[in-house]
Amino acid sequence: MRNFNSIFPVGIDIGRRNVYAAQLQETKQGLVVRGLVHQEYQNETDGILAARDVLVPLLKDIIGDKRLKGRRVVVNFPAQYLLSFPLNFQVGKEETVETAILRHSRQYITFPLEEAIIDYPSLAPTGDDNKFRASIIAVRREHVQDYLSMLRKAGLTVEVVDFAVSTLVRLHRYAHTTIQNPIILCNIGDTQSQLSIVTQDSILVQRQIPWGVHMLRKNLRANLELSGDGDKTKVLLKEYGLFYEDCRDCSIDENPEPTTDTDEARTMYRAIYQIINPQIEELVHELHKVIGYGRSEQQDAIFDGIYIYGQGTFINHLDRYLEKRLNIHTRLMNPLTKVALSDDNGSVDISEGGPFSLALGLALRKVSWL
Amino acid sequence: MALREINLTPSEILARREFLRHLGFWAGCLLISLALIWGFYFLQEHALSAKKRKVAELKRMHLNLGTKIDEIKLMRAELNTLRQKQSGLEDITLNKPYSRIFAELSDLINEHTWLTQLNIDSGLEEKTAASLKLTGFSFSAEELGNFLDQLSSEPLFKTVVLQQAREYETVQLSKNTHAPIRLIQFNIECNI
Repeated sequence: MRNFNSIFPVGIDIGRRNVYAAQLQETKQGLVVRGLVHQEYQNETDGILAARDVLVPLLKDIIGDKRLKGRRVVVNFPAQYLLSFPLNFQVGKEETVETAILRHSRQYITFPLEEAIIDYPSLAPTGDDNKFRASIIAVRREHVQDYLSMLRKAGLTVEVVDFAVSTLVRLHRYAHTTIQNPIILCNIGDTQSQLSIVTQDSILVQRQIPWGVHMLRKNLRANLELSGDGDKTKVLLKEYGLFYEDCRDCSIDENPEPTTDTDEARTMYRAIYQIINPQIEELVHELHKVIGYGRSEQQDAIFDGIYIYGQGTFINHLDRYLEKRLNIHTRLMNPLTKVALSDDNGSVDISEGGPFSLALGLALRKVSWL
Repeated sequence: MALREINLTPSEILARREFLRHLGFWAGCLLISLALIWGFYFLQEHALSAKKRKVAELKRMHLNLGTKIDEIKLMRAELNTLRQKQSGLEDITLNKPYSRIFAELSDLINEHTWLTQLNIDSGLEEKTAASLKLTGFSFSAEELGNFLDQLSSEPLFKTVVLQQAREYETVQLSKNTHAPIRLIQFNIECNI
C-alpha cells in the first residue's frame, strides 16, 4: 500500500569529480527508479566546499533534469570534513545518553565543541553499569552551513544531510539482505573510497581512504599510451580487470569474452592485471587494516562477506581477487540489478549501476511530505 | 538496538523550515478555502441574481396588482352603491305616483266633458314608456277640443292623440224631459 505521508526525495551523491543523482518512486509493482542522472566535473580545488562555483551550476542542471521530480534532496556530507570515531562511555546517574556522549566526545573532537554538530548513527550497550559503545559523527557547524548554503544557491531544498555509511547500510539492507554477522561494505569511488564494517546494530569501523578507480585508469592510460580517454580504460577494466589472476592455469576460453586469438588475449589479460595489480594491492592492504581493527573491536567476529559498491563493480574479477587474498566471501554489488527501472529509463545501461549506489541509498530515505 | 538514521542539518534550520512549511501549507489551505467560499458566493450571486431580479419584479407586480385590485374593489363597491342608488331611483321613477296625473286631469278636464274609463299602462312589462288611455264623453266638439288643447299643453302628457270621436244621441234621464241630447264619445291616448 502506498504511503502518502512521505515522499521519495532526490538522492544526490556529490563526489570530488562526479555527481550522481537518483530518485525512486512507488508503483503498483513496488519501488522503481524514477530517474538517474550523472554529471562529471573538473575540480582543481582541495574539497567540495571550495568547488562551489563549479558545483552550483552543475547541481542546477541536475535538479532541472526532467528525469527527476521536485527539489527536495537528501545528500551525504563530504567525508573530508567529517570526523568519525567510536566512543565507549558510561552514562552517569543524572545524565542522558546524549549529554554523556557530549561529555566524552570533547576529548576526540579537534575543534571547539560549541562549533560542532554531533550525532551518533549507532549506539549499543556493552554490558552492565550503563556502558555503551557508539559511533560518533562530528562536523563543524560552519562547514554544514557552507554546504547547505551552496546547495540552497543551486535551488535545492536539503531535507537530510546523511552519513555515507548509513546510506550504504540502508541500500544494502534494501537491495541485498538484512545484516546478521559483521559485513564489510566498500564503496569504491573515483579518488576516494570508503571501507566500513557494520553489524546488525552498530558501525564497528568506518574509514575513508584516498584510493579510487581514477588511479587505475591513470596507470592504464600511462602504460598503454591511451590518449586521455576515460571510456577506453573503463572498458579495459570491465573486460579484463583482474581476470588473469583466476586464469593463470586455465584455458582462456573459460572467460566468455573475448574468445578470439587466445595468446593475444592472454597477453592482454596479463598486461592489464600487471598494470592495476599494485593499486589493487593497496586496497587489499587497507582492507587488511580495517579487518584487523574490526577484529580487535569484536574478537569473535566472523565476517559474512565483503560487498563492493560504487565504481569497484567495473573491475572484472575484483570479487574473486579479494576473496582469494582475504579469504572472505566477496561480491560486486550493482543496485540496479535489485531495484527495477521505471518505463522512462529504458535506455539506462544496468551494468553502469554501481556508481549510483550512494545516490540510491540516499534516495531510499523517505521524508515527510510536509 | 538498530542503526539510527541521522541528520546533520542544524536543528534550528530544521525547526524553522518545518514551521515555515506548516505555515505555508495552512495558509495555502486557508486561501483555497476562502477562494472556494468566494467562488461559491460569486457563482450564487451571478447565477441566481437573474432569478432574484425576476422574483423581485414579480413581487413588485404583485404589489401593484394588489393595489389595483384594491382600487377595483373600491370602485366596484362604489359602483354597487351607485347601482343600488340607481335602482332605488329607478323604482322611484318607474312607480310614479298616479295621483299627480289624476290631479292634473281633474284640473284640465272641463265641466262638459267627463271620463268613463281611464287606463294607465306603466310600460314596465314591455320596457316602453308609460301611456294613458282616456275614454269618455263630451257634450260638444268644442269642449272636447278644449280638453285636448289643455291636455296637449301640459308637459306631463306627451304625444296626445285623439284616437276616436263618435257622436251619440241619447235621452237625459235625470230631468224627465225625454229630449234627446247629443254626446261625443272619445278615446284619447298619450304618453306620460
